Amino acid sequence: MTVPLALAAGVTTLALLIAASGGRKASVRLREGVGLLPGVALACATVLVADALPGLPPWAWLGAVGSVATAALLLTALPSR
Amino acid sequence: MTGATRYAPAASVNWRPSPLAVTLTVLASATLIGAVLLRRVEFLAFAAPLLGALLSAGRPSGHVEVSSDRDEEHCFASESVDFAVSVTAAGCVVERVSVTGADVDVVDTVVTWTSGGTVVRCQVRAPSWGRFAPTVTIALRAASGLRTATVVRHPVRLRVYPHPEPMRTAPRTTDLPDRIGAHIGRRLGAGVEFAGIRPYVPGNQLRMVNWHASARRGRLHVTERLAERSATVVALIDAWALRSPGGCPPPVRQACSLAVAGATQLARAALRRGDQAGVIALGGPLCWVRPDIGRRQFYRIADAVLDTIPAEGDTASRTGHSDLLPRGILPPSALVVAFTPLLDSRIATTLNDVRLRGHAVAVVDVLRDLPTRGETDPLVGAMWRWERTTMYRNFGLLGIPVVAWPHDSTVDEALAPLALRPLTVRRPSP
Repeated sequence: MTVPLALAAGVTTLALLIAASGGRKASVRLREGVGLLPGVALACATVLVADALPGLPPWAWLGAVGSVATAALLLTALPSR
Repeated sequence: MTGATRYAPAASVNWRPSPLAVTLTVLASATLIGAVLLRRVEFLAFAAPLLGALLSAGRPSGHVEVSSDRDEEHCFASESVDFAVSVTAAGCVVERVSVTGADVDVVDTVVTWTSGGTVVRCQVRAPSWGRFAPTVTIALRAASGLRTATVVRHPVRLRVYPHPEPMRTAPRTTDLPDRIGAHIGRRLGAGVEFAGIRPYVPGNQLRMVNWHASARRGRLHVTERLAERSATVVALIDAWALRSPGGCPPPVRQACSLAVAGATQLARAALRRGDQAGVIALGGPLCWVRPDIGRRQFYRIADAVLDTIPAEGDTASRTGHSDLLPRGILPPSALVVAFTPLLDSRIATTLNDVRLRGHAVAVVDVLRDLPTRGETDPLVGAMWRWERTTMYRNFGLLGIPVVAWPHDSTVDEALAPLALRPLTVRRPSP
């Protein structure tokens, strides 16, 4: 599987999860999801640029950045539930 | 009842991650771990949109305003009340609105979604009297459903009055105030009740002449009639037992509730007869409504008695006054009917003081059961009843008649012994 294909799979999964979380109001949820597009586009562009750069393998530093971001999310989001 | 729109304060909303955000976070974490372990950048590419969406859903700044068409709604027990609540959200979306109530029945709820906000039309029914605040729960979402919040507001307060039943008995005093009314007093006047015949004196009206008596006696005689006067009735509610520091058992709370219902019914009956009616509530901060006439006076009294009973769990002892009433709150010749469980000794001091001021006083004992929690020995119950009988006799020695309000009887039946003859006003001894 190539990187663009994996990105497309990720975006599709995200759209499906957003649409499925609203019950019968899937279209409304998707319209609201437009607000997330800048963040999604930035993340996708970062992956594409990192994949094109020579040197350190992209999985290594992207994995480190992603892990830090996920850890921050888990630490801030989950305790507030 | 006010017609102005009332806005609940726009308090800060506590946003929390939605189940969707948690799902995305877990999925992205698992994919990241897989990417590092398997050294595959494709897994990272899959997780990137999820992480990008999560990071772009920052803390939303949305807020919600809840307004109602009326600040307070008034009704009688077992009646239904309609009210409308408008919910306006900014920076977020209203997902669900529901109306619930702990002590009220929500009969019907219609939610209308408009471009300007959400309007909830609700019909509630209060089975018993009291003060209620139906709860409006609003579920909000923001950041495309990645953040949710629940807002709880009480935009409408319900004041439910006790439902007064028809009452035929009318306790009254021997000394009635000099006002035209429906009670036959002791003074002579322009009523219809026959009082006697006396010789004619210059100045008497010609229509007062009793021609039959005049023909028999050979000189003019006139018929005297009794004046019809209105009474002044003041219902006194004793809720001191509710403010005891250790809390009160259910029979006492029921007794105080009965006292409020009885006082309201007595006031309503007096007002319907054209008498003046007022109320004094003891227990919390001293509350009274000076005697007056008219339908509006009934609502003043009903409003005042609602605040007599504290909410369930409010055990704060706020007496705020002594056991002696201020001088000005009882007009001359007022009949004071006290609805009391006779548990606090201060009520005896208060009633004796009122009697010494020259008012007729009667007591309705509203405590129907032994004031304890749980089962007790039958001997204890027998001793308690004997003690109550002794207490009745002691009040009777003071010139204060006591009647009990037993189970399965109305206040009309309870007050019937007091209405057999006018209650005597005992003048204070010099």
